[in-house]
Amino acid sequence: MVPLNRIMMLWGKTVEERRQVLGPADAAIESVCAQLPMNARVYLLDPDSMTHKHTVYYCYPRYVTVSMTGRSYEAMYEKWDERPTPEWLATNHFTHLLSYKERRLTALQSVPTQP
Amino acid sequence: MDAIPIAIALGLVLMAGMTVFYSVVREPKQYYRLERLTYSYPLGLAAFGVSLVVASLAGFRLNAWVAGGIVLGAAFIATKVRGVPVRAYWLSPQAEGMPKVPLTEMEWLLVFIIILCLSARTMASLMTPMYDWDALCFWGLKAKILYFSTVRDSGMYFHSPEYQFSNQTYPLLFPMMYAWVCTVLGRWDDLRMMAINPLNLIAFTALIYFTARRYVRRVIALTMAALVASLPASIHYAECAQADIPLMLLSGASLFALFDWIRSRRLESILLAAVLMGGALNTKHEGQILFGVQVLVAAATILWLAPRAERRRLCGHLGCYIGIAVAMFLPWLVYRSTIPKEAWQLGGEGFDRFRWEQLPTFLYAIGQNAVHWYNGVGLPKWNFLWTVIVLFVLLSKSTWRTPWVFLLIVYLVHASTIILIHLASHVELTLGHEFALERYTLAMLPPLWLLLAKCVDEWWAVWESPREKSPRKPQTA
Repeated sequence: MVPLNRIMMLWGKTVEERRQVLGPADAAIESVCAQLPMNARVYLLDPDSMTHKHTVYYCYPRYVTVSMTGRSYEAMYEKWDERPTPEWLATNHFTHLLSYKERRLTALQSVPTQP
Repeated sequence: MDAIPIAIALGLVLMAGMTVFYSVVREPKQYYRLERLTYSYPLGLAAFGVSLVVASLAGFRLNAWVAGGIVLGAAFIATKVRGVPVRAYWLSPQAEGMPKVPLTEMEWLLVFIIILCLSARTMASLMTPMYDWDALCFWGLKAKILYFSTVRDSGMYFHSPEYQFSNQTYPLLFPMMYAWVCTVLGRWDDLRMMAINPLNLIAFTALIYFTARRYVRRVIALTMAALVASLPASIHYAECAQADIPLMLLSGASLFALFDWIRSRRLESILLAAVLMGGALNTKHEGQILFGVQVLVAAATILWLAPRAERRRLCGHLGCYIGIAVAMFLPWLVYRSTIPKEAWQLGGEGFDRFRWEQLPTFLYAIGQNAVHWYNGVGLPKWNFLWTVIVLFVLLSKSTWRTPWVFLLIVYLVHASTIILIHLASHVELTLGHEFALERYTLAMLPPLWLLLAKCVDEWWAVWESPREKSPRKPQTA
C-alpha cells in the first residue's frame, strides 16, 4: 500500500483499532489470548490454518496446541480430528479449551502459580 | 517515552557496528564520513545480532544491561588497542578531498524525493502493528520465543512437527533484533519493535548512494537512491516485518564491500564483506546462495583479473572471507542440523529429479512478476524498473567491461540458482508463488542497482557537451 494511504488510514487510531483495521481476525484472537494467564496451556479445537498459527503467535508465551501427538496439519487442516478427553487434558496439565468455531473458551482447572 | 529506549537499542547496534568498522578499517578516509556510519549499522546488525543468537543457543536470556555493557566494553577495548583518536577517525574527510559544489535544481529535487519517500515509509512503519501472515507465523513467533525464552529452552518450537509452519530452519538474526528492541523497551511490543524496519531501507538507500557515488556522477547516484527509496516493493516489505529488506541490506552491503575489494584489493574491504555476509547467512536461507555466488565471483576475479604474483595473497583474502562468514554461521548451522528434515518446506524431489518440464511455466511466472504492476493483493511492485534495467544493461558498453560484468554475473548466478532450487522442489511454479518471487527479487537487486548506475552514467555522458565531458567536474558527496 502506498505509505500515505496507510498513514491516512491509521492516523488517530489506537493500536487495537489499527489491528482491527488491518486484520480483524487478528484483533479478535489477540483479545482472546489477552484474557489468559501467561502460564496457561491451551488446547485449540477445530483449528484452521489461520486460527492455529495466529493463536500460537498471539498467545505465546502461553502454550497452544491442536494435537495430542504433536502432529503437523500443514495444508490438511480439514483432516483434523483430535478431540482430547477430559482425562487426557487433566493429565497433561491443560488449563483451557478453546474453540473459535463454537465461540467458547473453557477454563479446565486452576492455573498453577508461576514460580 | 518509548523513543529513548528504542534509540538506546538502535544506538547500541550502531555502536557495535562502529566498533567492528573501527577495528577493521585502517584507512577510514577511503569512505565518506556518513558512509562509515552507514556501513556501521548493518555491521552492527551482523556482529551484535549473531552474538545474541549464539548466547540464546547457549541458554542465556536477553539482558539489556549485560549486552549493552559488552558492546561498550568492546568499544573501549578496541579504542585502546587501535589507539587511533576516535574523533579524528570518524570526522576526517574523505581522501579525494573534492571541492564542494552546490547541488543543482535537479539534485535538490532528487534529495526531496528521497526524503519524502523515506519519511512517509518511516511514519507508516511506526504506525503499523505486525499483521502480515509470514511476519506473524515465522519472524514474529521466533522473536517472541527469543524475547521470553531462549532457543535452548524452546526446543519444542524448533523440533515438533506441529510448529513446522513457522519454518523452523529459518535463521534467527532478524527476529533477534526485534527481541532486542523489546528487551530494551522492557516489554513485548510488536508495534514499537518495528522501528528497526524503516532504518534498514534508509541504510540501504544511503549505501546505494555512497557506493554509486564512487563510480558515477552525483546526479546519477542520487537518481539510483531515489529509485530505491520510491520502489513500491521495497517500501512495502520494509514495513511488513519480513526479513527480505534486512537480507537485501546485509547482502547488498557485503557485495558493495566486495566490489570495492575487486577494484582495490584492500584486505579491509573483504573483511567488511565477510562480516556482512555472516549477517546475511544468519538472516535467510538465501544468504547461503548469496555467499556461494560471492565466493565464486571473488575467485573468478582472482583468476581473471589479478596478476599471477598477486594471486597467492588474494587467495588468502578470500580464505579470510570464507572463514569469517562460515564461523559466524556455524552455531546456527550446527543447531539447524538437529531440526528434522521434514521442517524444510521447499523439500523436494532432489537434484537428480529436476522438473525441467516446468521450466517454461516458471520462467513465464518470473516474467509476469517482473512486468505486473500489482500483485495478487493489489500492492504495486516494480513500476518500470525491469524495463529500465533491461534496456540500459543490454545497450550499455559498461555492462560487458570488467569489473562491472561481475555484477551481472552475480545476478545471473543468483537467479539461476533460485530457479534450479525451485525446479528441484515441490513448490508451485506458477504466479501463485508470486509473493516469494517478489521477495527473492529484492535480494537479487543490489548488483543491478550498481550496474544500472554505471550504465545510466555512460549514457548521461553522451548528452554532455565536449567541454563538460573532459575533464569531468569533481563533486562532493
